[in-house]
Amino acid sequence: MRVHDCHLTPPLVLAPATSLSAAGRLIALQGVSHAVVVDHGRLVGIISTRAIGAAQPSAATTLTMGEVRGRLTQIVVADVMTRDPLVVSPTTPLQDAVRLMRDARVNVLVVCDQDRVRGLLTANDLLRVLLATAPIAANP
Amino acid sequence: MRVKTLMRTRFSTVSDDTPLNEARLALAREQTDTIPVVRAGALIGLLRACDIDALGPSTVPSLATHDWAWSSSSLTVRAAAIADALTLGPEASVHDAIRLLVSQDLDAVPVVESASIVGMVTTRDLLGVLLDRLDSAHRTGLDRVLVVVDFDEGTAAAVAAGVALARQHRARLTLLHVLQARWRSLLWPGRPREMLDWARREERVGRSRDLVALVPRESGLEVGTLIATGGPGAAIVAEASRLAADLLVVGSRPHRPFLGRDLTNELVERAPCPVLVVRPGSALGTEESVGRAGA
Repeated sequence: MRVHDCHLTPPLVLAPATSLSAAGRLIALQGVSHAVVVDHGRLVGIISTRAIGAAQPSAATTLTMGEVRGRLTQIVVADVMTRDPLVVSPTTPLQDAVRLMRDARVNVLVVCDQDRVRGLLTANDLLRVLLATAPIAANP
Repeated sequence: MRVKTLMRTRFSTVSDDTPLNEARLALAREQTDTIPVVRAGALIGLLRACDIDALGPSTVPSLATHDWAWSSSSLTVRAAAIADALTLGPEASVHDAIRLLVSQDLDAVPVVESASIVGMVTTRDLLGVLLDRLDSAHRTGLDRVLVVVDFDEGTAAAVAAGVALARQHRARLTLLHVLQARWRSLLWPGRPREMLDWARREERVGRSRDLVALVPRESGLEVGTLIATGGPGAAIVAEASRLAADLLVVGSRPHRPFLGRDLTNELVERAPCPVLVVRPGSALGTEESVGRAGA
């Protein structure tokens, strides 16, 4: 099995200059856990809901709600994203992708075909592959 | 497969009054993103690294400078943990575990037996199971078989060999036909372009239908069809690389020794995978012989 044989999560694509508040809203709207950051057609990073959550100030901040909101519109995705995410090609054997994800302790790989982002391969996508493999289904 | 056979039974726990700093260290030490929260041996919740991150000061310096009053020492696990976490019993199926992990977007689920936690099922461990399965499937051989169909006399044997191999290895089968660019106006000078386009489209649709008809529906195989255009050698090699085929099957063409052998040689030399050349009427094409070979 190759990467392109499994269902890939369609990517939510953001520009590096997208504000953090807009990125948070878009990600929530799409119900995804990650978005890819693409600059002039080139993949530059990946941003997760976890990274956006971690960028929010704590409850003990001395800023007012309004100030926090204002600052979050000034902070851009490029400040918070993970640069150089792990990339696989659509024809990468699936076991190589699984091994990469497991050993690098990440939950997502970006699937790129000659610099073009084709989709995201998430741990949940891979669990669905495991769900579909016969032996488990045969002995529930 | 049951949860009890693959859950990890060695894992750390934190108590709900553990300081958050210590819990963060425990997560780092365990190299995990989720740790169970227990009180007197009973599971009362789950602590996730992302919830600690969200609770803590901002990772962005311009915001973090205003978080100076935040002090993690006063906070305990209770502030960040998810109460009433979903759990599984040891007899639950792996199926159930995966469904729970995917639907709740968790990366670990506690396994509970008579009110005490006995194990954890993690996404990481399940990826290990998937890896074992993929590796063992890989060792048995083929994953994608590409059969070149020229509707010549070798076609039936080549398709039969492809079907037999695909079935034996539970591989995907793709049938490929290359339309040669013979509609170019040399033969039909002066014909309107639309007419050539129409003829080309008709031929494409017709050939597609012929390809589908080659494999009996009851074969139970996943069969794909492909129509390519251009020089046969280059088109076949390009499709084989694009699909990452593991085996290319072609029928030999004894009646056209010069042309036929030329293409076969080109494929053998340039294809990105091994090439199987099947003689019309050769034994591989029959189901029984493959069955015997596999037995």
